[in-house]
Amino acid sequence: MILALLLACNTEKPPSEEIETTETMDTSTEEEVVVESCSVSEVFERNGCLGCHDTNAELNGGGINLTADNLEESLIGVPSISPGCTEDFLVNVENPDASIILHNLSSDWDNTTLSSECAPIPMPLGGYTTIPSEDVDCIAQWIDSIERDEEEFVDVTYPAPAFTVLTKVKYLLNGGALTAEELSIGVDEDGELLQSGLEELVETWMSGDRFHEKRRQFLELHLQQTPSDHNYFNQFRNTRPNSMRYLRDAFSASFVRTAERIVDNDEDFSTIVTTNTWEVTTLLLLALKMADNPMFLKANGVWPKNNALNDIKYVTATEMGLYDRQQDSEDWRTVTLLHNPTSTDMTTEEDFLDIDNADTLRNVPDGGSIELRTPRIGFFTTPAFYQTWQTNRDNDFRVTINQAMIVATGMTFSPSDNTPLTGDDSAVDPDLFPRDSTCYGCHKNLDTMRPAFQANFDNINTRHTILDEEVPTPGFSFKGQSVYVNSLVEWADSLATHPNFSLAWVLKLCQWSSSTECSATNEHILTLAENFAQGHNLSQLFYEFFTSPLMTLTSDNLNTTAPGAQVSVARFGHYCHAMRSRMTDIRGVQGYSITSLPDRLDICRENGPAEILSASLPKDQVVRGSIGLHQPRDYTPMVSISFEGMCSTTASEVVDTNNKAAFNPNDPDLVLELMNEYLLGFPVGTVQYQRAADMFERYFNALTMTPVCDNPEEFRTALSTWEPDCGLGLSDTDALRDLWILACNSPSMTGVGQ
Amino acid sequence: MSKYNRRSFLKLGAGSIMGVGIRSAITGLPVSFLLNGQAKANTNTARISILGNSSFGEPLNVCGPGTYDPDFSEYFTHPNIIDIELEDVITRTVNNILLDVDSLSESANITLGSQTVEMARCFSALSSSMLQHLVWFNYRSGANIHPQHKDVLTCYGEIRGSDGRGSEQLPAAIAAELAEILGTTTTVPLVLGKGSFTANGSSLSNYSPTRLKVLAQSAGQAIGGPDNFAVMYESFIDEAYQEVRESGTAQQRRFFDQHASSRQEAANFGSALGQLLEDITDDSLESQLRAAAVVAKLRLAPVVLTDMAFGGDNHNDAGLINETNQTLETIAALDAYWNAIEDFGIADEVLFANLDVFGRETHCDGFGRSHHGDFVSGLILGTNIQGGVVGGWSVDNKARATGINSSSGSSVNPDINPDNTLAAYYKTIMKAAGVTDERLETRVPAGTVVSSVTNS
Repeated sequence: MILALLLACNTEKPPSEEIETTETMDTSTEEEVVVESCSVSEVFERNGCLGCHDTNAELNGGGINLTADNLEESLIGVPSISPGCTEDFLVNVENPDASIILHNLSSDWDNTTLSSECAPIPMPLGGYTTIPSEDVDCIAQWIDSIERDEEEFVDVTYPAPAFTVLTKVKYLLNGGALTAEELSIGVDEDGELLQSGLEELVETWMSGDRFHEKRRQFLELHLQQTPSDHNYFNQFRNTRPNSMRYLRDAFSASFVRTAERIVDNDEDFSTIVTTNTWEVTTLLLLALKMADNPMFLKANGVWPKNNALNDIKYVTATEMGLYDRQQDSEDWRTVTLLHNPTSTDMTTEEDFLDIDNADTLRNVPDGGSIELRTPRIGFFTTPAFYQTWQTNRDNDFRVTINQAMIVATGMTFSPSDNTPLTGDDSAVDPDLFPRDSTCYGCHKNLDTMRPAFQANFDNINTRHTILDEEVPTPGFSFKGQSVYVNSLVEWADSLATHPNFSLAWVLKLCQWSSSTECSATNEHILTLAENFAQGHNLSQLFYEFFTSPLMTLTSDNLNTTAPGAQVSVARFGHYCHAMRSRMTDIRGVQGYSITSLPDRLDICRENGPAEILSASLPKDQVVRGSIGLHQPRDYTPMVSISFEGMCSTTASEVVDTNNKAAFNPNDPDLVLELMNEYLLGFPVGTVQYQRAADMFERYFNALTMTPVCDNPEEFRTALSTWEPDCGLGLSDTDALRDLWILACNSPSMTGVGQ
Repeated sequence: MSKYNRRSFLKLGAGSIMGVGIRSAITGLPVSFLLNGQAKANTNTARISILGNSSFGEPLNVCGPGTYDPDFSEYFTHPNIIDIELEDVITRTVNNILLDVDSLSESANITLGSQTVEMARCFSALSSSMLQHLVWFNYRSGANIHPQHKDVLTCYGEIRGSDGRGSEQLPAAIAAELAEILGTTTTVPLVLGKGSFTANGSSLSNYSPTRLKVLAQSAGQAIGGPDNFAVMYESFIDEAYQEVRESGTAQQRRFFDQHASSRQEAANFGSALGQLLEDITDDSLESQLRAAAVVAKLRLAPVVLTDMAFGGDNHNDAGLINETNQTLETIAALDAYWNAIEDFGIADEVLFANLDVFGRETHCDGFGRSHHGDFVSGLILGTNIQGGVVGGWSVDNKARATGINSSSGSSVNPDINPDNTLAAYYKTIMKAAGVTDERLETRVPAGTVVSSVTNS
């Protein structure tokens, strides 16, 4: 048995027939191809490019010198300055189709070859003239003809060791350590990963609360409902006090719960864009009712506190006798928010201070409905989304729309978007964005969407508004989806049916899981996207992703882009979830509850002794305007201190005779076994388990041995022998606490994919 | 159309600088030497860079040199006591001078290096030794939306990777160039404020002064002692993960290498850092700059990133109260920073500069200020810096940064195009931090150093 499992963990490279090359490149060196049929210099000259891009390019604003002598120096391997394209080159000899200059000159080139956020500026500027296709072809031929470097990057992938795959997948989905039984299910007789076994295990790991907690992390991140500024000042005047934390939590949780309901019911996940049936609490309903009224303003433009239309802290104060801030933030129900712009419900201060209205809101049943004057549909009209991406008088919903695009389609606006325009072009301010400017390239699509929001919400408080004058007809024209719309609901419908919705969510899942921005052209990604597009079943997507080659293939190249080959530090969400899971399992095998964990063992918890340390762990973050996540993935000294500090700070709570601890020092042998199996994650019966067991025993002996070693080198020797001459003279408890620090901080816990 | 349309009003003592320029040509001496010979001689010494960063776009450009000129009052709005509820103003006392809203409404003649300029009075509270080495650098970032912050940080790809290819953010480029020379513990920037930064393609984690303090104080707490624990940990990694250490993939091996080296590096500085951060009690700007000075003192990181605030994203800042409070807070924080680096004895080992995505409209519409990428102001501060004003602004419907003369720093006879002033600003910061000329040409081939800043 041990032999078979050792084979399963073998990390040697596979035989050649198992190799899959994800990026095959011709490494032969060819003679330079002479472009006999055309002259690149003449193309630039003939089309007027040298007007800006001659030898005075720096001074006259063109920047890039396209005269014949400087062509290669100016273009080959030079990063583009088009928005989001700094990772792309003007001429990319290794991947000619990804040369920005081709995308500048023609929209016909496949833009999936570019960075996800890259938006090449169409040339010539203004878009009134175009370069003839034969001239663009000439430049393409020239790029093709440029000699490539002899050493080229070839990313070869092959099946990863079964133990690596199974450990990683379980860490991400369930958080627990791989068991011997699971290993036997996932490995065939030759020690290789058994696909059917992996599928069986993934199905198991995707059931239960542990997976739901991880899925919630994923949704919280990608639905962008967690503002960094907790004071909803613009919308509700004051939510900063600690006593308002229940409402703040409810704001953030509302749409995440809504999405969870959609997923759990196997509904089409794209309804996150359109649904008006939300998970809400009484105070959320109150907040939505308040936001149905414009903020009351004093003459000097200030919106006053202690006004029942403005100030939710005032209305929910205990002395008002209307609401209980905790209970009324936790009475979750499914409620449909019906849009009725003519509703006259709750329009005065008296209405909001009327206890009958408080009771009415509290008594809206699960499955019931209420009327609102503002349309509340999809993830992008929630108070939490508006707070996360606060708009203002100048921005006027641009950030709202752009972030909504990123959530739903994984794309942002770009000047090269040639999707047929809809909506009234007068929505695009001609003074700010002249029709011949690059700015117009984005704003022609973006600003024509804004009237859909402007007709319903004001741009400072994002509350209900009635406009003095009509806004232009909105449109929806974005990256291949062109729809005439007349309302926010129709705009949302267009967003929900955008052709990139499916691919976007596959890429989000891939990055969250593998800590790398996955390629939109990867064949496995495309397969998943195609499948997900059939009904958008998110559970099915999770299952297919974690059993796909994106998880099971690895590479020995340090710069590999293969998702399955990535090794990253375990960020806050992954690590803390895994630690909770393993602590629960450790308690479980000792006869304690397997469904609840004593607070002291949630070492990442708020208000715990390691609160600041755990808050210092690297985190996944969304960044305004960015499609991908901000994901620290390196193990740095600060990360090392964070983990080790957490582990040492919590040692006395974790290793203790208290029956709420995880490890009882009165039974050191059991403690060492549990640390080995559940923290280092080595399944019983494997060579790794046995070696770690021996190691732990020797270390424990050395830690408790007397006399005390004179120096660390003597201690090092003591660690390596069964009968050490000296040690550290620690008590059993202290020795086990130091071993806890070691295991808690081990690569098994703090890394993903290692 | 304004009467000032296309009128290039070159502010900032242009005449005197031209005069010096002529004298320089005659004598053959560097312009900066003639302007003032007090910049210290260690101009080629590498320094730890402390970079105050904002992705909000700060209205620093509104209170700088020349912006209080009555001839241009229609273009510039400053905080005014009439528009502000005085109880909302958080006054500061800097070098025994009380700073309130008046110190932003009113101007004063202030000497930066050897140039006397008219600017917001609050800056006059800073010590003369600090003003001696403070450069006010006007430039264009070319950005107008917040998401362009990451593009601005790379100067739109003009900051290249170490081999002159690809692109890198300015803080990461400085860090990579100088870490080895400085002998710092880490080779990437340490982020003590907000914002998302990358180095070598990897995202950097965000910390704060209080987090750094707790982290440092928690290091080395193993009961058997930190040295013995280090020995045990090394043995553990080698033994428990034997197979993957020997024959894992390249990324797996890298992770284990990082794990081992990071632990050792952390152990090296943990306790000392904890002691020096004893006084830190919050994450204010002043605390960030003090913590940055501590990091510099211990040579933990080649670049430290903090926040920087002069009003923030103040579209909705009726009365400009946020602008007032944040500017005064920053003035006080900079003064405290200057004293801290003197106290720590590292004044000659650090450089401060601020980075911004864009400036803000100089005229307030009554509600606040909108974005303005054509006029941004940066500060460069260090004992190796020749104080003064670099660049200027002219009014073309609205105030915009002009071109720069790369020798004198003046806006007269500019050889740096206004659109290339961001690259000039970055390259000058890199030069001031101690990046060699050869490496500068590899890293920022398109930019031009303003040599008067560093007397080079």
